[in-house]
Amino acid sequence: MYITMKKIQYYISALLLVGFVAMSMSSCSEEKLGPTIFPDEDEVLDPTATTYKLDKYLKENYLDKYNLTFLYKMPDVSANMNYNLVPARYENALDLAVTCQYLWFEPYEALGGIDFLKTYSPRIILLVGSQAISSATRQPVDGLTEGGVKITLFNVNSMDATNKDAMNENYFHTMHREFANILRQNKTYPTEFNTVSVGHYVPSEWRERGNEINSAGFVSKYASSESSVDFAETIACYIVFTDQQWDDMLAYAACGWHKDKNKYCRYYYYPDNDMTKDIVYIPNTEDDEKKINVVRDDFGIVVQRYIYDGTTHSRITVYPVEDEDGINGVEAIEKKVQYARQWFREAWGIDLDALRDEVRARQDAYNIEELRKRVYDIQ
Amino acid sequence: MKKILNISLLMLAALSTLTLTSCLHEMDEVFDDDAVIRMNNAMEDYENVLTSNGGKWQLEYYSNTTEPGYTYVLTFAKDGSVVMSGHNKWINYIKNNNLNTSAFGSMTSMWDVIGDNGLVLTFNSYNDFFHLFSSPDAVPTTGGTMTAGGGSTAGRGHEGDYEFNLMKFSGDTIYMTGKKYNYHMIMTRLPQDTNDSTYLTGVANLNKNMFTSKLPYVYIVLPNGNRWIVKSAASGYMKIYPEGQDEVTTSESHNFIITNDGMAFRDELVLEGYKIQRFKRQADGTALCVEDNQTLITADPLSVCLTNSVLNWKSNMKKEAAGGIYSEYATQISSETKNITAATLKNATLKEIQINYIDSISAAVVTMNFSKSSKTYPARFQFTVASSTDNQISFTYKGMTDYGERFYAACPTIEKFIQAFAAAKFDLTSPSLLAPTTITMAENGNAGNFIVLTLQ
Repeated sequence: MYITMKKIQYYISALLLVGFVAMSMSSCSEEKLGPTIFPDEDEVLDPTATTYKLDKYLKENYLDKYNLTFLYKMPDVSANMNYNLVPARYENALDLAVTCQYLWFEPYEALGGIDFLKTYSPRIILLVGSQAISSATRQPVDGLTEGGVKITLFNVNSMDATNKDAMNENYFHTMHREFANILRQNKTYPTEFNTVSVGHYVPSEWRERGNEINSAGFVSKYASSESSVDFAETIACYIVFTDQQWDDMLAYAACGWHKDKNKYCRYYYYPDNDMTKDIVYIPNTEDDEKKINVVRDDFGIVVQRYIYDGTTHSRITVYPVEDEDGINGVEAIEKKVQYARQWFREAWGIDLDALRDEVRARQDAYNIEELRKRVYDIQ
Repeated sequence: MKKILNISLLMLAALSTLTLTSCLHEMDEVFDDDAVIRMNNAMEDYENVLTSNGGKWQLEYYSNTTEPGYTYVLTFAKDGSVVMSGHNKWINYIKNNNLNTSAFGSMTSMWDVIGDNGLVLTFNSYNDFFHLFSSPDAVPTTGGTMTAGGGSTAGRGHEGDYEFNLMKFSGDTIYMTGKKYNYHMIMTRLPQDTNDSTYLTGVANLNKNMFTSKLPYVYIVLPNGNRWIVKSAASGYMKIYPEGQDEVTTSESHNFIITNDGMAFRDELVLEGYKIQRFKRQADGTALCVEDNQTLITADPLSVCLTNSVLNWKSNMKKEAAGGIYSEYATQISSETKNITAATLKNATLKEIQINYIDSISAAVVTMNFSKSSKTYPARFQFTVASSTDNQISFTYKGMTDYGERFYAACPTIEKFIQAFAAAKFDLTSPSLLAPTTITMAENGNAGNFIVLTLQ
């Protein structure tokens, strides 16, 4: 075989090159990797720690089960540094941990399955002891959802777990709303929902509204701030409201309202029953409306409302304000619930009514002393 | 051909240089371990330091730049719990809805040392008596809602930290800074048998007695002899300015803390080149700078305090407040008022003796206040004053005014009193030269004859 000098030199150069590269690589490959700079996820809990039982409960029932970190020992860096906040009281954190599981995660797990929660539950729940006061509005924030992965619950130190109604209003309402927010951030809800109350949202003035807001087709004041909030609020109210609360809300939705001297009124009367006199409106306050007596027929239908004249003690007929806002509040709310129901079924395979029944059954059976045993009984 | 060989060799040489260079990153390690190991070790070190020897520490805590610092006693346990004890008015507000006095409070909560952009000591579960400084609730006052720092405090509160960057550990002192607001704070180890309540009650008592709001100003006396006027020290937030300078344009304000043995400014102050921060209370009540052992915080000499025209001194002349002839004279004078013919003054009682210095007449007025039927009748006697030393004073009788003549005429012992008072040289003493809320005037050479005056 004829090999030119040029080729010999080429092969020598190539061999030397490969040799050097191999040597240099081998010399570098002796470097050993050090320990990971990331925290060990399987951190072993210290059984001598004061918080061992709660920590173990949270690990087994949130972290291991749903890949969710339930942060109750508040690192300030986890919260918004623009707020002045304090950590949660330990005892309240324990109460909230067991009730969250009982009234939030277990119902969803029963209806949606554990994989649903593993995938879509927040990755972090952060408890904050105090309120967060918005510097812009000077109003407190009761819950925050960030990026669909973290829910922050504020004002935990004011919580009284023995007061079921207050818990429902102040915490579980918030939890279900914030979770609905996470779900809608993952799968869009029907755009038709946005059309139901289009033109009636008031992003900056919703706090000043009262029960008359139901007549505009909203389940709550907050719902009237914007459509995405409306969607989450509709779901949360539908799930956590008692029958009485829901019926009262629909009753307000069915009313006509009149704003008189900055107060919303749904009833009025003529002094001395004299229709030539100026109408007097009755403000929608508990004290004022309590004075109205109701006469019903055999079927429970209201046939007359009246109050007693303060001087003559004679009956003065009370009339409902005509509903002239052009919105059928009840129909709007029911339509919104229907959209939410459809979305839950089609997007998540969850029956919203069954979820509501599950939550309500648990609310009825709610007993904080029993729930605390979930932690206390841990060995 | 040679050219190709040369090029190949040059390339090899260059390549070998490159490959050798690539290995040069294996420099000598600055640290023995990786960052994560060092961080974990440091966390463990601090945890051990905090919990060892009983785990008891004094924390000098500042929530902001306009409130005083607050002394806390913390007891760290290895199980993650910490007992946090304090004695201040905010605790009293929580316990008794009262900000006028201080109260002790102690509660157990949680602590941890975490790695968070450095080592951080965190008190991460709520403690009623400590996290009150971090609460966004509006700061209460006795009068209602406080508006400290301008505007409403709603949403801001005291603006205190509960997480602290651990800066260093030296001896038995841990230096740290609040994580959000960056104020420097220190923790000092306490003996493990320290009783929180006893210790903090001592601090609270010193807090009450170190300065007095009744004295309009005291001084920081620098080693060069220059004095800085100190105002409002009793509030825990003092205003200081050089003596003789304009208060408005030269004053600066500093908050400080009262500890078990003195006081400390939140940060080091530099006055005329002298660096001062910590002061130890001396037996005479003054405070001596720990850093230079020379700078002193003190008040005017007692003789000057007694003749300060803005101050008002009184003695009720009862058993503890007067001794010897002065006590006897006071009793006799009260009994002699029966001699007065005027019904309104007859049988009036000598309630107290009051001393004020009046600049306009360059004299001290010794007032005998007689009372009857809830009315007070002042008998005033004027004296010129001389003081041979800081703590000695003598009086020369000058005349009488108001009800002076009427009581003098009816009560012969008043003359004896005036003669004795004018004849004596009084030695002045006080439990505290910095806060002389009481001064004892005792006759030089006959200490049994004395009057104890209380600053009003």
